[in-house]
Amino acid sequence: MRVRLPGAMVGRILLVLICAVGLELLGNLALERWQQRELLSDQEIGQVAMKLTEAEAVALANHRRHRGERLQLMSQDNLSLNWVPRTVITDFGGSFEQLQELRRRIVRSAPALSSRELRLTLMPSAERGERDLVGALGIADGSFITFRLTPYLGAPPDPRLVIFLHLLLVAAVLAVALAMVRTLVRPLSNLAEAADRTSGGRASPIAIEGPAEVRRVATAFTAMQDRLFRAMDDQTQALIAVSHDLRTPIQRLRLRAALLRDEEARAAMSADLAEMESFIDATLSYFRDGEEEAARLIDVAALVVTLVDTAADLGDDIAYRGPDQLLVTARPVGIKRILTNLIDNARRHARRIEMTLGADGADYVIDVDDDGPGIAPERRAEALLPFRQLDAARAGGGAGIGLAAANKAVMAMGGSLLLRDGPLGGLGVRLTLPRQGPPSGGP
Amino acid sequence: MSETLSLEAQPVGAQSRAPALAHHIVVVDDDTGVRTLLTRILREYGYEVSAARDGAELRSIMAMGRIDLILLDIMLPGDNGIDLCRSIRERSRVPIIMISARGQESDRVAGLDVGADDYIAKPFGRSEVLARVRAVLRRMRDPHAPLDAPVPECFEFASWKYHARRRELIAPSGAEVDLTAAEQDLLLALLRHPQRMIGRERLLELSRSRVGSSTDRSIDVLVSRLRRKLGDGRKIRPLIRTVRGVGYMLAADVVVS
Repeated sequence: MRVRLPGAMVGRILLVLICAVGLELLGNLALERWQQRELLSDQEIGQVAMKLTEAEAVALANHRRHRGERLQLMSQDNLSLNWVPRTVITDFGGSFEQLQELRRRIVRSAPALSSRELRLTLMPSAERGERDLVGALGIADGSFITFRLTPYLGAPPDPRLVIFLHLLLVAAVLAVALAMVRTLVRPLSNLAEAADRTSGGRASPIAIEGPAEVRRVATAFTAMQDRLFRAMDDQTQALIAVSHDLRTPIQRLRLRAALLRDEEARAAMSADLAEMESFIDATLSYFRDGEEEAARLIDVAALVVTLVDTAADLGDDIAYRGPDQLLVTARPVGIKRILTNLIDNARRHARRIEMTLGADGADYVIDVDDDGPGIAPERRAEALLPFRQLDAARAGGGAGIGLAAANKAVMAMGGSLLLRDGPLGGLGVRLTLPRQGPPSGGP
Repeated sequence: MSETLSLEAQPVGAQSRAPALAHHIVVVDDDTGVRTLLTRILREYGYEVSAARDGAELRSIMAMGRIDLILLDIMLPGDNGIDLCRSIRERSRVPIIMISARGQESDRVAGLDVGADDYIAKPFGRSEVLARVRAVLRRMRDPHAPLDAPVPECFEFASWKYHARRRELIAPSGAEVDLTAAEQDLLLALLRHPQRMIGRERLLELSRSRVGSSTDRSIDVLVSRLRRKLGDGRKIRPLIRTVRGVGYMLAADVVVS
């Protein structure tokens, strides 16, 4: 059964405090006990009590002159007995609680002794540090049976050990308290981690747990996350819908343009429409995550060559350098989309394009280099953000989402995109992708 | 306004391009603008054209008489293009060109799987649609590739596999090898006539059937591209053998399934 914890944070903190104080108290008591530990079991005390009863009977049965001898004969290894007419032993039971307790235990074992005078005291024993129990039992005729129990109490522990044990106790209590406090605040740190994980349009589920205050925060946080993602999703959907819907009027314009008699105007219009289409394609591919396509074994060299040949057939100055064959596990449509974006982008800013393919350990590398104006190093990070218009030199190409879309898609495939100075003097885009394919599960 | 535009834009000599008996084409698209424009363009090039808004209208047109080609948009209200294509194929082998939105690869494959003959991605221009229409109609007339004969699904040759419907080439290693449209048609032409020499003229004609004017590369360029992808480049006995001055030949046994 689960223990019901107090709901509120204050209650839980109080619980931790009580536990810590209680533990410290119990620990102290135990340490105190341990320092004055008796070396006798109940059974041995019973034997002592029986021996004393026996000794009393023996003493009374014998003449005073022989009593000492007879009792000494009854001595055992740890208990010595004697008889004396009078004794100097005084009782310390009054000032030493442990002796009083012992007396009660002896009497409990041998009720016959309850009416007798029983003086108990402690004496240092021959063994270093230990202490013996010395006692005198008054018998019926006013004389005494004396006895000595060796040893009775263990040596008092080294004070340094005692201090060390106290410190250990404090440390243990602190550790327990710390563990409890950690458990107490874990829901909070979980919440913080969930907040950290929430990024890139990906919600991280948040467990509603812990004390009432934290549960309240977690609920509010989840609701906020939901609202944010819904708003983001709405905007994305709107953008996707607009892009999709633009295709139909573009389709109409394309066909209408074909009806124009003015050759020049027709060519210009076709070029404009082609550019619009490429923006729409780039925008749509930015929002598509490519998850719907399964990664499979493909010849990426054939794929790149196909794109290069197709672009060359359409009149681009584009060349391929690389092997005839390179087998990788990848999502072919996704890779095609990325490379088409990059080629479109290069075509817009440059005249000559070169695509290079190579294997590099567990990765394969595709370079798309052009001879255009390039992008200054300090602006490259910005160029990978969607809908950023860079400087005038590269302004020939609209919203500039192509690089952002390519970057996002490459990252979703477990690879990376690097902008650099290309060997042709323009921009060089280097894609590095794992040959074993995108990581399974999330991108 | 559109009427006058149509009159003005009437291509010179359109009449002369019309075949003796005009082919009957049905354009199925739910967008009025696209539908009328396509209709007008195809009519200008001498085809007899009917327009349908959806599956119901298409069915009533089909019931009325002979049809030579259907241009079928995938995104339709009611039954979509894929469903329509499937139900048409149950009864008829009439050539179908699917119109899909660009980037919807799954639509493309689905369309070809249910028996479409070709596809064209929106947005397309006049020359693209005309090229595809002509190519499909030419293939229909081609005695070497009769359309009423079932199209083989899969060719196997020298451990390679070519899935004709999906247009997928699988290497002996199991890897998918991407081909351009012209390369696909060239490969298909070679696979249909294995161990037989095909003249360059004929091969070029067969390879341009789908792409139309979009590539004007010589057949030698196309063959060398295809050889490179087949890993044929440096072999002493290549799969595609050159018959000097005459043509090419696929030097492998082909198993059709």
